[in-house]
Amino acid sequence: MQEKSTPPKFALRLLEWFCPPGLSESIEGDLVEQFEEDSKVRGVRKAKGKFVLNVIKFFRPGIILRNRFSIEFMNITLLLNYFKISYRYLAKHKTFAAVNILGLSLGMAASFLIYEYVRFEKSYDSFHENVSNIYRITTEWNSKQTPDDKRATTVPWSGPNVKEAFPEVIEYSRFVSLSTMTGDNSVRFKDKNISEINIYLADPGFLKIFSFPLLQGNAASALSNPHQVIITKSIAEKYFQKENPIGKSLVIDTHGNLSGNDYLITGVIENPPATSHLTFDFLISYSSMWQGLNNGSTYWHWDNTYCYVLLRPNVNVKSLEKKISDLRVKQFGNEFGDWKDIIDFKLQPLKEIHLYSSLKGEVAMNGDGRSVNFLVIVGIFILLSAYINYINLSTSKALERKTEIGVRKVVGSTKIQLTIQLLVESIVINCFAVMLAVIIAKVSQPILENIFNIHWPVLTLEWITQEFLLTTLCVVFAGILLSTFYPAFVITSFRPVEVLKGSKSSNLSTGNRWTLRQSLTVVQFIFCIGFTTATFALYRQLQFMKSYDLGMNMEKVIAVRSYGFQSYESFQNFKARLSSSSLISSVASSSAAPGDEIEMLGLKPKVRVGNNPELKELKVIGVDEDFFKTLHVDFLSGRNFDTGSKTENDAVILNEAAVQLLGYGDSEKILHQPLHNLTDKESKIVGVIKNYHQRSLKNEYEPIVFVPKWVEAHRLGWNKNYYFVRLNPTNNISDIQKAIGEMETAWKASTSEHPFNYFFLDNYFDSHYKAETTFSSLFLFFSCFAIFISCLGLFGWVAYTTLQRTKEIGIRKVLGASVQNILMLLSKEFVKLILIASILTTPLVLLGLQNWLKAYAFRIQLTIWLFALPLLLIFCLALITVVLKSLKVAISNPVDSIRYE
Amino acid sequence: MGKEYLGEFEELVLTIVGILRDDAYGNAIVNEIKERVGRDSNLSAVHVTLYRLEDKGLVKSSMGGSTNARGGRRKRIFTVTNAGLAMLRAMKEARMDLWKLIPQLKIVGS
Repeated sequence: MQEKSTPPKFALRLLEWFCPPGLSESIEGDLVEQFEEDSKVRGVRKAKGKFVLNVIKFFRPGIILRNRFSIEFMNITLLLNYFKISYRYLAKHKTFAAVNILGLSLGMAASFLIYEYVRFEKSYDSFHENVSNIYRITTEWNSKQTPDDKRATTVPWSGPNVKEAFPEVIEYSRFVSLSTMTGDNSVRFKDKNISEINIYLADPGFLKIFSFPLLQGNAASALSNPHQVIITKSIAEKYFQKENPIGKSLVIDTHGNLSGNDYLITGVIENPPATSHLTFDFLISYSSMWQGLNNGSTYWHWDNTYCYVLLRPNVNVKSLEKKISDLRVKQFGNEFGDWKDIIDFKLQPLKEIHLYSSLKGEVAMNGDGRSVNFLVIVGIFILLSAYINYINLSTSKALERKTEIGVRKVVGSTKIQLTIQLLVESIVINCFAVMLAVIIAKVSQPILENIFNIHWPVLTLEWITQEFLLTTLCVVFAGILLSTFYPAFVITSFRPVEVLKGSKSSNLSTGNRWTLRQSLTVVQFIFCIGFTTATFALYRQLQFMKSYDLGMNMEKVIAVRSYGFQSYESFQNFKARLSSSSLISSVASSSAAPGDEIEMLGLKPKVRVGNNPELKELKVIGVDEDFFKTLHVDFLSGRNFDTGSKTENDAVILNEAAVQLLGYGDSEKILHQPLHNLTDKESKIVGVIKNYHQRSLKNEYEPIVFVPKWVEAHRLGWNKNYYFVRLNPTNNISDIQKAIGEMETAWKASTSEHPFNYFFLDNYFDSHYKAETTFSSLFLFFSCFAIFISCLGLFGWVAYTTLQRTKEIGIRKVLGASVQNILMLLSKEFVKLILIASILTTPLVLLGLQNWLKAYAFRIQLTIWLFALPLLLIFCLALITVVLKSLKVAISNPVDSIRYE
Repeated sequence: MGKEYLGEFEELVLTIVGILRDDAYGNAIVNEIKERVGRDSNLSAVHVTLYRLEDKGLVKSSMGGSTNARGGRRKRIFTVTNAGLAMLRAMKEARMDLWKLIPQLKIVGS
């Protein structure tokens, strides 16, 4: 026999590589056979060559693609089968499916809502094309008079001088409210009077920096000359209807503060969108400003204008800040004597203003970045929690399906096929959940808006953006993968023979092994406890602030909004008319309502007392002699203003905080001391009042000096002006209404032309806690959500475990276990998990709360109850869930349960 | 299905499969074609044709027993199905019908 030759190995390997497995054997056989024949007839070498050639000839679509086509053909059938099985399975286990889909969709709906809210909050000012290069120049005063004086505003000097000196500044625009200088103002067009409006002065650069589209008018010239005004679209529509407003003239009453009152309309601008931190109705050209506060102003104390600059890309902002501060020192350094570094200019990115800026004198109430970020965490957690439930439930269900899985495996199902089966089920459930979630979100949106009294920008037309779709898709996809991974791992690890035999080792659910499911449940409860504690603390802080003794009494005090320019005589007239009323106990006037930031036309008086040369900054409020009586503010020492005395014109009253700031420990000693610098003459301190909370409890007591409002020297227009009317104690609503009627009559008689606006002072003060109120109810709502979802998961789990242990429980009962024993047995494990969760959470929450409460000058103490109560609540809820579900089994007749199966 | 078009080579292979009966596998078919028709055919072409015929349902295949030859690899044995037989018959008849229509004189005359 001749030596047996073999065909070339590489060719065979090549054939095996491209040839479908089902065909390769016979093809190989045929080739080898041919080779053997050839090698006999033509010799081994030639045969080898021909073999290789033949192999290559098999590399053709008819062979290679046969593989793909057939598998795909198979897959479609199998895939349809997967769907069919999923459907049957879900239809059979309705509770399971419902709990799963409901939990998931609730979680998704909550995260939808949160996502949209957060996106709205974060989208502030991002509609400006140059958003990343726009900065606001802010001011930090370093004088020792008022420590830590950080302002959102700056001096008028910053704009033009900074642009001139630094090439990296492309454009600047100052932006200042007219009311800062004139107090309240009104606009007149023909015979129409417009009040309750925002009038701002802005430089021509305003239109270049920001992307508010100018609908009519020329952007290059609309603000460049004095006495030009741009109006918003809504004002144009309201007051000009179909007329073309361009070129028309408006009268803006500036009470003589600007050089003239006639303004020419040069443009109509789009209304500032809801996501703009700047809101305005009228824009006057900044050059209309009084010359002293115009270009190159050196009135350093008048730092009331906002100033926005557009920088070139990639400018080193930190070094530019320094350069601006140095520039001021170079130009005017010696004006403040020793304090060369008295002003530090800062550049604040536009994008950070809405959420992260809380300086003095912001344009409007800003959002709260911390709460928004917290909400993000809540949202992520709720979604996570829903998926954790899903994983837990599917895993336990998977254990129940072990017979099915075993049979499938025996019949020849591969791991991949089992995983695909789970994947398909997961996709079905997720798709259902997404659809349901959209419906839930849509339905709950108006309800939420009602409850929380905020604008919820969900499901508007622009709701479905590419970004949103992409995010949803990613989340759902990740959710599907994640939630399939673990159950698939558990299922595919079953060993079919043991499963089918029903041997003990496959019974994974009982036993003391620390499973992933237990860890996930602990994570769930960690978040639950964390949220609930945080919400509870927020709520307590809110209650604390609302019930805090403010040092005054605002109950039954009605404030009438009057105008800064109104004469004192008109107030006296008003007061006199009400003095005879039996319903009203007292009437007072003040330049600031409790809750307001105290402003005095942008002036910051620095005073000194006695021989002390140090200047200190005080806030000034102009009041009449009945102010303290009306608000029930107590005197510490000294006396009230005396209207009868001539010398009273120089009298002032301080509060405790001012006394302390001026360096006097004892309020008696400061009495009758001369106070310099408040006016031209020296003032005399006649009284000291106890501190009361002029601002909300987020702020410390402010040092305030009260001046008599009727005195000529203090008659300069105030930014604001209020009349406070204290009613006699009554619970009768009709009495209150009657009193308001009387007030209106008195108002009409004393000032004919201005509308009568009133509000309840305590409500007004509480409105400064609006952010807290909103967020505490939001957190409460979503915490409930989180707890509900966690309990849902617990419910599902308990349902499963009790089902598993039905027989065991039956036997225990037969042997004499009581219902309590059984309940103990069943809830022991969950109690353990919750305890672990609470132990892990408490220190984290403690740290977080301490940090968060720092924002409040007056805050609650962190007591044990703050942690114990929410913990107890969750504990009870979880226990109720567990007991409710297991009670049924525990009290059932053991005969039934043993017969089970 | 029955009206499906069958190519010339397909028809040849199908016929050979019918001839070979229980011994119809790739190599045997190549050899049979060589022997009977005197035509050199390519093994891969034969395989592809066989699979195509199988897809059309004209032949069916099964794995034969293994032998010591071919390195112990089994043969894939093809057999003609009823559909395949019907197809062959139909084609033959169709051709015969056409054949009858050719004037016989011409043959005589040539």
